[in-house]
Amino acid sequence: MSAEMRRSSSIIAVPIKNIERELICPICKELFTHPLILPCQHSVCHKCVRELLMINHEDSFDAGSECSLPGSPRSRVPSPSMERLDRLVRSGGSRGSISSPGWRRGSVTPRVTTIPCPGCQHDIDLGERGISMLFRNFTLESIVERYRQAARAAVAIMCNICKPPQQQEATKSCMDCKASYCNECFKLHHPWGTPKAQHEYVGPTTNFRPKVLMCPEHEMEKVNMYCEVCKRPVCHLCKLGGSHANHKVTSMSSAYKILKEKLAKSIHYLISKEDQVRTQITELEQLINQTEENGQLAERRANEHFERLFETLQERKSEMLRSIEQSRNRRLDQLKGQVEEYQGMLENSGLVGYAQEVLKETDQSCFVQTAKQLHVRIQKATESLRTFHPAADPCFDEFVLDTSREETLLKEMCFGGVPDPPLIDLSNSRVYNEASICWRLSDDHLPTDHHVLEYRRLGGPRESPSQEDGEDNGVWRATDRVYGPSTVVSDLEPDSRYSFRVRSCRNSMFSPYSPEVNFHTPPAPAFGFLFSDKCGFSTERLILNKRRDSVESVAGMAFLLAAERVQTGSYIGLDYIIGDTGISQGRHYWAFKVEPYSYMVKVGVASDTKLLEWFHNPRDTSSPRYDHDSGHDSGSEDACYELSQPFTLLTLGMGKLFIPKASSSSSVSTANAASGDPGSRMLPMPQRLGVCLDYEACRVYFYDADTMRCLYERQVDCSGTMYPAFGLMGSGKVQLEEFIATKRLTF
Amino acid sequence: MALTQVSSNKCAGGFQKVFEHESTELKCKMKFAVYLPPKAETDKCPVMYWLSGLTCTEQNFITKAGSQLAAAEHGIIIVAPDTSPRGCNIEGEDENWDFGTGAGFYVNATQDPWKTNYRMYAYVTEELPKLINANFPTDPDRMSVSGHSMGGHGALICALKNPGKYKAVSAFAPICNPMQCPWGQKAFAGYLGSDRSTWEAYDATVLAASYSGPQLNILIDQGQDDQFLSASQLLPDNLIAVCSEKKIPVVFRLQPTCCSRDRENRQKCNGVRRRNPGSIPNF
Repeated sequence: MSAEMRRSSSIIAVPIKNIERELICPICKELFTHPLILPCQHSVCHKCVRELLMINHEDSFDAGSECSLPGSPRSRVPSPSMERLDRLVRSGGSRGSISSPGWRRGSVTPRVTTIPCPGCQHDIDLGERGISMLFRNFTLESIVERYRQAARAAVAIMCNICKPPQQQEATKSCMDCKASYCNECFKLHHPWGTPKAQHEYVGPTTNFRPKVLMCPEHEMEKVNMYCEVCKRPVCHLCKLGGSHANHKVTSMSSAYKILKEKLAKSIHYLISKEDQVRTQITELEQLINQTEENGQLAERRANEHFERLFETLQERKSEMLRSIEQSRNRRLDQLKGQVEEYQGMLENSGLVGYAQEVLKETDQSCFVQTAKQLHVRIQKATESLRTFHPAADPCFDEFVLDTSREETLLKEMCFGGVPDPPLIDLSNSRVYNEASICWRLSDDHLPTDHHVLEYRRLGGPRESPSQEDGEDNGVWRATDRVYGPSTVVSDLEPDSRYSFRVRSCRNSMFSPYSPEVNFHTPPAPAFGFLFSDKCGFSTERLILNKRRDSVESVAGMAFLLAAERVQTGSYIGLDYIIGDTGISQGRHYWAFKVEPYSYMVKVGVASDTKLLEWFHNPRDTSSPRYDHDSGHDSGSEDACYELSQPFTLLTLGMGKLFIPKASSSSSVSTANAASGDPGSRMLPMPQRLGVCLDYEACRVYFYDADTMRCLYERQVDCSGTMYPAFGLMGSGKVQLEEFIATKRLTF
Repeated sequence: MALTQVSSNKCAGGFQKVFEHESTELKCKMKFAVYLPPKAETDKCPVMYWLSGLTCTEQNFITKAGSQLAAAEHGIIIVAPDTSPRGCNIEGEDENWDFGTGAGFYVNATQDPWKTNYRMYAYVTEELPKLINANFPTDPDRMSVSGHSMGGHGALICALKNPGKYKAVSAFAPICNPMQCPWGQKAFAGYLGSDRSTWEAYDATVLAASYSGPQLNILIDQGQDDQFLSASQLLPDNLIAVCSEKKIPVVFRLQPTCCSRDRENRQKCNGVRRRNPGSIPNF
């Protein structure tokens, strides 16, 4: 042991007492003895790895077991597994006997060498060489050694030289002599002026194994290089022709320096973060306190609940027992009364006796006076005798208590304090400048007290994503308590994305939040209208529902009556209907649903002037030329009418949506809709369609209302009042979206 | 390499021993003194090599200096070799007190008839340390060298010629620039020949001028009234000049004369020296 090591040991001596947990083998849970380093960098006692190997693979054994303690008898005792292997090897005939005392280290390789690391549970393949491929962890070994001494855990080691009666405790152990000496004997055996004076000695120990790392692959070679690739020490043979031939190696001294610096730095870092560590320890301690307090609180609460239950039960018990008792007493009284009454009917007693006495009366007037009333009583008694009827029912059936339900309930009693989170119902939730959010309750049947909806804005208008007002951005805002499964949130920014989440509360315990749901608000405030029943639509072919929020196109009775004559086909006209409210300024947004089965539906806006033409001109329904269409007739006409056209209608049908033909003034957000290709003009019909009219800008936009994706937009001539307009042909149905304002009124 | 113990005396808690061995460098039997402090019984100790001056043997230092007390206190092994080969039967080796026996000058001689035996430099820097490290509980990494007069010269050149080998070097009244003083010139001419350029390899002042290596701390003690200082045998000024130029730190302590408080003693002391300088055995 060099002077340096001794120095470092004296430095380390103070803090060593707290490191015991680092010095414990994960298998035997004792201080390491001859620790080996596994490839995963965990250390395990040599004997423990051996035992692990034995357990894991009965028929494999460690051929390198020579390194057990000198004098340990078991390394020479052939184990059953060893004999079995021996037989196997002999029968194979390819190798020499290994059970003979002359067997050499490494002459037989265990076949299965995989063990799970007790430190990290990773499987470790020791390879052909088994344990002998593992490095000893000298550093750990000597730390453990020092620790043992520091902890005085070691049994006193006696001098090997002096004879028993005067045997002294050893003060040092000579690594060269492999013996322990007391001071006198050491001096005697290591006289100055002889080479023995230079023998290496350490404090008293029983571990005389040389502290030199030998290469596991080349037993005679000391390791003197460090493989940068495999991160392990290697010898020059490994580098010359072994498995590390092509690896980058560094000298042991530079690896030592680098690692030492690294470790020192890391330790220094940790030490410099001592405050942080202490803070975290404090936090943990607080957590412990909280846990304690909360646990006690929960216990107390549970206790209270049970007390209340017991009280209720007790109350109920005494109440019910009392009512049974009362009933029993009442009935007994009644029956006893009856018994008395009947006893009175017996001769010489009671009523009969009394009557017999009365009969003895001879004074006529007196007799008559008494007998009249007595006779009634006797008659009554006779009557009751004939119709014997007990005054009370002895049966207590109505007091039978069936507690099986309560018992089941009691047995099912559990901690259900925290309700399950609700789930936002996308299909019933609508978001405009106000949002109506619905949610479904979780499956646990217990009622919740209330819910709280929270929402936050995710992003601003598309046009200016950077210009966002920071304060309401990203901060969750909560509604008041909501007692139903839906609520309305007002004052949302237009054209913004909002995130919503909701949680339930029961007994002031909140559930976790529901999964967040994102909605995109439309670019303008919602425009509320119903279908106009006064605009002069054909009531024959368009059916308006009572609420005037849906319109259905049907063949019509007249047509069906006349259908007898229809043999080769008939021209069906387009029937228009508009909203009952018009727009003469501002930006407005409305949304509706077109039933996917619809034959053909046209949706959009039209000015009142155009509507006059549609509704009030006499119509020749038999002429296909008189088709009030959006100008699809020919491309040349389109170009002329484009800008001045007072209406814009989008065609839907057969579950598709058709973008109008390309025009100079229209800009379409969908890709290459401008090309003449009919395929690209065709989109799947959105579930909900949104229309936004900007009166001042004379522009109309069509959206997929679910995603708020703009499907089409174009110029429209806004003159006079503009109305939401719908045209239907064949069967079809348009359903206006229920508006939140009206919905809120219902609360 | 076998050692024979010549004497062993308990001293200051440790042992003052003298061993004899057959030197391979010097081809003769050599004695050296070794002081083993009490600490050496339990620990490995650093070693200081003490090189004595003209006319000395291994005995002078251990009998006169009283170094054992300090060595015991600090746990230092002190090794004091002889100053030259002995009994080699070289003609003229015993004729002068300042050349030949007792005046090896710590050089490896190149001239006949001295070159076979007079290899004191190799002996004190190589053979002896190996011998000591192999036979005593030493810490081989920690050795230092010191000396007096001719031995001071030896200590200085050992340290200057072997950067890093000695952790410390110090000297009492060393011959600092032997090429420039009568003693040195006589010895070098005899052992190394007339070519003065070969002398430079053993001259502390010249060596200091070309020193490169780990920083060397040199400590020199010099008596103010040393007659050989005034006789220009020691020439410490030359060494100090070179060292300050080379930025080699030198602590030079010019000690007031030993009897400065007592005129009478001083007179007596000087008188003794004047009367018979040759009889003062160690310079």
